[in-house]
Amino acid sequence: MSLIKEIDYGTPIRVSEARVALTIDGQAVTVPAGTSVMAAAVYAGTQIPRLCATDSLEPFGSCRMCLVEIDGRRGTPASCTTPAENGMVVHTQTPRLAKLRRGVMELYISDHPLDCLTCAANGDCELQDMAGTVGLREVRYGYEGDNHLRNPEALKDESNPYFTYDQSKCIVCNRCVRACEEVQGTFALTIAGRGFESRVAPGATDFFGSECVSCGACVQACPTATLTEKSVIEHGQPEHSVITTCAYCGVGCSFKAEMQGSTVVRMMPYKHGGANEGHSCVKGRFAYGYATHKDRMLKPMVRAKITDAWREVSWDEAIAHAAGEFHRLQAAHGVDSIGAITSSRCTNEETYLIQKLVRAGFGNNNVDTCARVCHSPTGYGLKVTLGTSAGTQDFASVAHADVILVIGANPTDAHPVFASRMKKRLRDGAKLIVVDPRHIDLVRSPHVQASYHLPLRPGTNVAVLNAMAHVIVTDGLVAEDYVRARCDLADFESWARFIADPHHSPEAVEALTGVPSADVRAAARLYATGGNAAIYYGLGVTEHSQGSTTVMAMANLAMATGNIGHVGAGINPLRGQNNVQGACDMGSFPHEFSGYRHVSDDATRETFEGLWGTHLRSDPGLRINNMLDEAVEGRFRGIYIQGEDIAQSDPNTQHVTAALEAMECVVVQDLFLNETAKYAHVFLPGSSFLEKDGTFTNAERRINRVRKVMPPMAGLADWEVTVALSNALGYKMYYTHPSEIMDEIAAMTPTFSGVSYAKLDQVGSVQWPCNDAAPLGTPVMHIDRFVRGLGKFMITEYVPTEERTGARFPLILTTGRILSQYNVGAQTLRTENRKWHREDELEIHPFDAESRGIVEDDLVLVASRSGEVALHAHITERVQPGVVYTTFHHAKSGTNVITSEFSDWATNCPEYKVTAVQVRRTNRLSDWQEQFADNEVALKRVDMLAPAAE
Amino acid sequence: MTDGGSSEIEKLAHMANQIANFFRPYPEQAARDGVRTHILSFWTPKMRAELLAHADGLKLDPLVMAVLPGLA
Repeated sequence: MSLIKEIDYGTPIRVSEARVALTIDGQAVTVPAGTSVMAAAVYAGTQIPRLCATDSLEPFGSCRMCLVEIDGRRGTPASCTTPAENGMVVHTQTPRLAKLRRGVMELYISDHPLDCLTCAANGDCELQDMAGTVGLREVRYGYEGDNHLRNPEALKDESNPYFTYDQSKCIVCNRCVRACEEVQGTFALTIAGRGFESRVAPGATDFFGSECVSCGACVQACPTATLTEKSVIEHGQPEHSVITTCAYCGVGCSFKAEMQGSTVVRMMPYKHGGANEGHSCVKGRFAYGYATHKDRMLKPMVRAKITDAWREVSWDEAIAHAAGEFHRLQAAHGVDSIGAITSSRCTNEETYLIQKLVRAGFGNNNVDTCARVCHSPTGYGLKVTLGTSAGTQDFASVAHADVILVIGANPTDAHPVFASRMKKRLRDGAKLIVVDPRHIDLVRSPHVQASYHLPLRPGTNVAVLNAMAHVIVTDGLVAEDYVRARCDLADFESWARFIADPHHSPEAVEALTGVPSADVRAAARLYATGGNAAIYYGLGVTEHSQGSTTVMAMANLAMATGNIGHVGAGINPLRGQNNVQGACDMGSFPHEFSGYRHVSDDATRETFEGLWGTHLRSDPGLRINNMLDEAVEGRFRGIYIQGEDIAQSDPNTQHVTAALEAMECVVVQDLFLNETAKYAHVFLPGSSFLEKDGTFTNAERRINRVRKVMPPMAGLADWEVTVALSNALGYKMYYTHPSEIMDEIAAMTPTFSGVSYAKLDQVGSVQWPCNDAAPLGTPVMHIDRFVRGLGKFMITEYVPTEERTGARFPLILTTGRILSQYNVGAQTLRTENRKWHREDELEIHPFDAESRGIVEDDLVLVASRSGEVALHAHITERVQPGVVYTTFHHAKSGTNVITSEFSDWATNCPEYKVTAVQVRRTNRLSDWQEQFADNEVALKRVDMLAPAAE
Repeated sequence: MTDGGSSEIEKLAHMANQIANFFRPYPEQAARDGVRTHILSFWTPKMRAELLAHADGLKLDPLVMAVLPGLA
């Protein structure tokens, strides 16, 4: 293995059908029109010296290192800013150029510390490389004059937990500033001062206190050691790298895990990653330290009762104990008394194995996945209307969108790398419509301004989308040719009559939604007439009583305007976790096999029965919420939970824990003793994404490889544990490597039939469907026809949630997550990211705060019909009057103690986004929170006196 | 549902009524087909049996009542 170094063309790769032919140093080369002379030289096989240029950034032309001579032209133009032209004859190496470059280099080095041997960038420094390239042998100017070297410690900013800023090493090339602007789109950095005083600055503060989002783009762009990862300072330069996939959000960024042996030195975003194209966010780039955190549980453990201390045992004993208990429960209480939950944090291969274990080993269909509580309405709504349970586009499509509708999503926080792509398109002129109760950053941020923000009341998504559709239909803006050619006309006509009814008009629903009707009308007209219109949405759509209805309403809107089936358009769910799409694809839902085929489909079931060698049930199994309800009733007795923490993430915590307490055998497989493990009887140590092979499928259906970079810390990868459990249960599995599991998935799943590890190694990634018809995958779906044939318009009447505000609970609580944290915080809170989020706070509008006598940082009790928790108040106009907001990253907050059990009508996806609450000042934690503190000790004890495990 | 959670059978009734609410705008037969197909596709046989067994004591939507015989 070696360190992977991608080619840097110096300026961005231009795409054009037109070609230009030129000669560089006597070598003929043909390049796409628009290509710079610098990049053309790389195509020709040579490198022009440079410092301020890199191909992730537009050319800047400041360093004067990349000068060239061009026949027939005066002077020495910068090759980065000079487009290649037909017939051009370029010389990159002449005595004149050499002298100029050496002179420039000498000036740079005259104000740069000569500590190369002890510098963190030694071996990875472009300045050092260029000094060597130009043959710099002396610096004639001395170091007596003004410079930035005299007091280097005073010029260091080490406030950011992940990287340092050392001004003494800065050559003011602007790459970091431009990366922050062009790649990340945050505009946190600038060049402060003029002339000799010019220095990179994160505003009038330090990095930690600035607008910097720690995406790492500036560090990546820096050609010197000015911006350096602290991990590189600590460890030194990596010696090999492995391409793998981030285990955080559904963007699924590709990274080079840069290693020293089995130690990760740094995670570098991979330029050829289809999802991220070389960009990253603070989580994927830096927050991987949880994988080796001291809290990792590395020994299997068992206990008879949850109040007992855990006893460390061997893998064999733990597996045998779990299998024995599951056998006992099924013998005593029936085949249906146990089930399992797969995880969107685990690989496709692992989730496939769990559902196979349940269907073939347990003999029932009681398998569900955490998508139940996030994007199950996406699966249902898009399957019904379009024919398959997935988003329609690749991420690159957003670059061709003319109108972007963001609804119920906060991409800059939850999907930051995709948000950067989106913001780039917005800066280039696309129009933006934001439908969200909160004033999220996209509404207005540097160089981004939504044309329309529709700040609806939580729970009224359907009413707003119906009102937009009403305008489109009654204004005659339907794409009639498209609808006639692509959609079921009878369904369309029924829908058009339904939606044209005046009770759907923006004026009729204004009092209900709180959105000015004029804005709804204008937004609808923009969406319908503004060119390519793309919808991006998140859990603000799905986590409602009407989540599935909203998904279908979006599909109606897109079909009516002809915005599905081509680049720049579509309906795009932004998946919360890294493998939500994959976990769903793999048959994790209780009613369907991999590839979204219902268990009652005889042909499909018989195919699986043939391969798996056992009878399979044709009736749907229990969903998570059904499992919990049946547990409370005493009928569901055992569960195997891989990589999920339902005691923190699922709604109405007290109901969840009551159900877990009622079970006799709870098996938790996880990295940490999480909240659910407090109620477990068997703990099986999990393996992080760094410790196993597999694949993740991101929100754009892209199947990316996960590659093992270190051995499993507990000895077994997760898939090996499932195989062992299945074998102990008597259903034999014979896999020796995850690639064999993928081979089985491909053999059994039509949309995956062309997928193999060999292909992924060869082409990097593919987007399903990947089969004979599309051997390299399908970036955009439904191009000529919908998967279901004709697109199906659904009637989407607005049915209000039954969660009602009133005198007792007058405010609506909605929940979400923030940039630095991920889901239940198990990973990110075990990294330096915790510095950005020490606790979950309650956002409350000044009006609501004042009327309750609440001032900033007051401890307030948030009470709902389900429970109470105390949080500190943050007074902000980001939320509207009548709405409060919090996150759920800290277990001790107990945010889901207060969320209700109301759920989506079609899928039972919980209604996290609408909970009626009251808020008042308090001086103590809630009873639940005090009990939590006690349980942290009582339910997590490990018997240190037990014999050591094998 | 009530404060602090409901019994399982009450939840099943609530789920069924929610499904009926969605399909109500459709013509009568299509609405019935929608409700029946949905419950058959996503509910376990035991859940359907529970609903049938307790139907008389539950506040079920007329659309749900209409499709009960088809859920056995």
